Amino acid sequence: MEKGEDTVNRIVIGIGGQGSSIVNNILRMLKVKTGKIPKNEEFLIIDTDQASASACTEVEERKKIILSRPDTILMKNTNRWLPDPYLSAAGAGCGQHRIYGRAMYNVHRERIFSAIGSAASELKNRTGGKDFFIVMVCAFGGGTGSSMLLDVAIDIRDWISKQFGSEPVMFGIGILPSSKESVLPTGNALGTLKELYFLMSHTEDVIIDDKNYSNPFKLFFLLGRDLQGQNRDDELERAIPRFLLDLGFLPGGTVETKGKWLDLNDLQNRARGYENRFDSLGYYECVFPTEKLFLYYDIEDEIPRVRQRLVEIEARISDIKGKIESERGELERFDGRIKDVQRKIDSYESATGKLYHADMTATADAKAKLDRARKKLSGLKEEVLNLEIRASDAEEEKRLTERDLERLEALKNKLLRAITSPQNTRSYHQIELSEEEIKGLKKSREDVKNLSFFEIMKKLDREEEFFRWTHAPINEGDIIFNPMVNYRHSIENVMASKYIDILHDYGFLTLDAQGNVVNEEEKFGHFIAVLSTRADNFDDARLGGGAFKSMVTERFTKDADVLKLDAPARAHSFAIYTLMIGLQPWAPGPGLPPRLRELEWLEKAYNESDFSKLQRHHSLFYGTPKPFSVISGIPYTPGVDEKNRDTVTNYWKGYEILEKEAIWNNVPIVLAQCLKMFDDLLTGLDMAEDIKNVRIPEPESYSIANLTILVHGLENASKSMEKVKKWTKDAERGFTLLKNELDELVFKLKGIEAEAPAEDKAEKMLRMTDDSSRNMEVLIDRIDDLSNRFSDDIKSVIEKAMSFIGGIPSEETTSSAIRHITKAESEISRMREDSMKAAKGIKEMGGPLAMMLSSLKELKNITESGESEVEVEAEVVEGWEGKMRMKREGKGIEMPDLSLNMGRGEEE
Amino acid sequence: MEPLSIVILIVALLIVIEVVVMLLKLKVDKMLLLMPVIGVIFATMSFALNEYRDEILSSLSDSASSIVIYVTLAVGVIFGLFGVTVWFRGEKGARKLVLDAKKIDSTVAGIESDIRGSDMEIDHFDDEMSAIKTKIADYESKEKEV
Repeated sequence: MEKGEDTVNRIVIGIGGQGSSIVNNILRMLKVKTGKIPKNEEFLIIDTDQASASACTEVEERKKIILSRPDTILMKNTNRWLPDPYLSAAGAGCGQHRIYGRAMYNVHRERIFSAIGSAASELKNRTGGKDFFIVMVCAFGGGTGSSMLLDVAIDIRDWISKQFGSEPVMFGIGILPSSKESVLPTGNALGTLKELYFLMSHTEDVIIDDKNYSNPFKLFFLLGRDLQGQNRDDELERAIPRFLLDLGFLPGGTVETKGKWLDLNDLQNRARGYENRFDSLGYYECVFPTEKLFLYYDIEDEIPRVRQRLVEIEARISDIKGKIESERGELERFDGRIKDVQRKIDSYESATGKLYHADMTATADAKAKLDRARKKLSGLKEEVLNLEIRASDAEEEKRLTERDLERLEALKNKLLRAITSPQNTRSYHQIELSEEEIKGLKKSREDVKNLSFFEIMKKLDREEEFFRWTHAPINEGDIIFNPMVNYRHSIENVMASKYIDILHDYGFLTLDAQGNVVNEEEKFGHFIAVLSTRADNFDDARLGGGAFKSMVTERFTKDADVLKLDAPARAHSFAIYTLMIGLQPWAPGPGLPPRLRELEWLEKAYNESDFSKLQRHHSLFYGTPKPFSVISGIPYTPGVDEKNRDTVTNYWKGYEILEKEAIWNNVPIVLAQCLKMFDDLLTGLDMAEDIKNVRIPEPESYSIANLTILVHGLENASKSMEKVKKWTKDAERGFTLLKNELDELVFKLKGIEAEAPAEDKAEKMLRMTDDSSRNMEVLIDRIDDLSNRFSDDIKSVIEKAMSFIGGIPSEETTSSAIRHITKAESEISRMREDSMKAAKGIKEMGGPLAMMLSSLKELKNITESGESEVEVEAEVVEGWEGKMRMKREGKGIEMPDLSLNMGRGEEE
Repeated sequence: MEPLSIVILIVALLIVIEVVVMLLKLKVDKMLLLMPVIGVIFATMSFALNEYRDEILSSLSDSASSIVIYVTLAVGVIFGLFGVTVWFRGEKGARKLVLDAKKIDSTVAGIESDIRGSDMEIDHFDDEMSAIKTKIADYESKEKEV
């Protein structure tokens, strides 16, 4: 956008402590860059903490909307729904209670709007334009920003639309708490995310009581405060202003750039279709440390100069001090001399007689001179004293300056370290220089200023490195991975090792040569990379738009845009800004971590709050039951404030941040889990079957060798029995978990009234469901068969073994034989005991299996039709369970029943 | 008129000039002014004696009358010189006192300018050191920016 053409009115609003601080930073950066604030931009902060607002020194006082805490009577009168414990707040601001923040908003609403309204009107008068672009920044963990964000956004959108006739373009920036923060901020953040997502998912107008509850934001950027345990506050505070200014959202900062590259309309077009999803941003930068290097050179040159000067100053001060000493003595002597002369004058004057001539004019002159000298002398004594003090002060100052010089020396060393061994991260790479290179470049420092990044590297014979570091973020995917949120790009390794092959076999995942999952990036929505550097660096790096785009799309993304931002000031920096538009933050499957890593700790803290504490984490719809009821379909009781408030809390408690289409992504993963589990079960059943094959010698063939074989066989069988027993327990637990996941999935699919998936996906899913069902039927047959004969098989083995032992002639019972017999009897006894439990375990697998089969059929129905036809299967299950009960009653616990078989027969 | 009379007249005239000068230019005590006046009187007497020596000093021999005339003139000259000498002595004392006072004054002024010079020098050092400190602070803030 050309300078001077931009008439879009821009308002940046920071809400709460962190939001205000970021607005303050933006203003500071703007002033440093351009020395002034563009006339079409206004910066406002809304805060409930006076101290925090006062710290924002760059923001004009009249642009600070500081909300004071009202007394409890006013609070209650304005907010009848507010529980008594939240009528006041502890600590600063809203005391991190979102519910209190909402109540504060209701009390101060008119003031907030009068301030924002007058800022908007002023802007319109200044620019004449009626288009508004509004950026809102706040932290999600606090009380003020997170509680007021949505209401301010909705209200301001409506106000500007009505006043000026055009809807403002609104961007939101929300900062999530770190994993190290306490329950209160993390719970607040999930509460805010739920409410924000709720609003964002209403993409069409929802007008209730003249207020539009649809999504006010075109884009909402989520940013995290830590990444893999590293605090990123500094990076955040730099990145947000830099993002807004450098990329031209606030054009005051675009003085360094040439030409048009991306404007609000472009961005809105690119974000179309993803308005109901979150976004994030990040950047990678590779720099040659020119500025550091020149600063190092300057300091290196400055230090000896300053040191020399300080030595001179010291010598002069010492001279002055000596002089002061001698002058003080002289002044003392002059005191005596003045007295002498005065005496002489007095005697000269007093000696006047008849034959004596005295020149009175001369003596008057002498006396005047003397008086003047006397006065000067007393003044000088004071001055000498002052001078002495000043000389001592100057000496002290010199010592302090020497200390500063030591600091400068330390700074020089620090810079040297920063240049020779920079602390590089995934998102920042500074070229490392050796001390020889630093010395070498100093000789041609003036040339270095004008050379391009590549030319300097060439001068150092390191041009290959230039390509390495400008291409590394693309080759290694760092441009995808360095956004400011902890976003998981692909399925976790633990998951991959278990299910990835199955998903691959059914065509849900594409694997590259290294076995990594590709094509997951479609879940990014839209990926935009902006290369920002001086024009010649684009050519030097051989990263033209096309080349870059093909590298990105071939390796990482399906949908990417690459833009070039010519920033003449960035001669020795190669920056890549990234915008990830349309992120899905939720879990890709039951039992799997959510894609937005932050959700893990947010959910944990939120779920730890009991119902009474949960309300402190929420804000939206408290005190406005009617719109809530209209939107959610949950009835409300007019006038019963507390009940309505609890209904809202209850709603938020159950509300999930989940997208309709995304739930279908879970289906193959759960089915893959089913298939994997069936494989595991078949292996276990084989192991159980194998027990009966233990080798028992014929009773009449006794020998000590056969006895030893018997004992070994029994020992092995006993061990296998132990394993089968454990396996049945694990399998039962696994089935229960899987059944729960299946049920949860079916419940969600029904709950969100998901439409049928795409045809090709549905086909693959149905194939997986059929295979799972078929495997299960095989499994049920095997379990039927085994549970029928398991006890008999074991009994037969035991009988054979007993018969062999019984057939041992009494004359053969040597001490060694007796030891073997005792051992064999002990193993038999153990087997008998374990076999009962194992048989029971095998038999009890039938229940969950039957239920799972029913759930699978239900899933199949939903997949086929997109609707639930659940009721059919309940009868089947009921029938099976009834049969199982009958069988159990008819047979003892040792004998596995056949009810599963019968049930299945009926189903068939 | 004989030459002696002319000489006496010149001497007298000189003493008259002395009186006039002392009266008009040199503010002297009136008692001291009396001395040259007396000197003039004696010079006048000497002139008169010389002019009318035949009448006034006829009783004396030539040499004795000359002695009287010369002595009278000498007394007149002595009175005239005495006035000048006393004035000169007084003036000399006064000049010495003025000189002493002036010397003290100028030396004190010298010390004063020395002190002022040192003061300014220290001011300059302060400014210089403050500039060094500012520069160091600038370097530190620049280091944060790079």
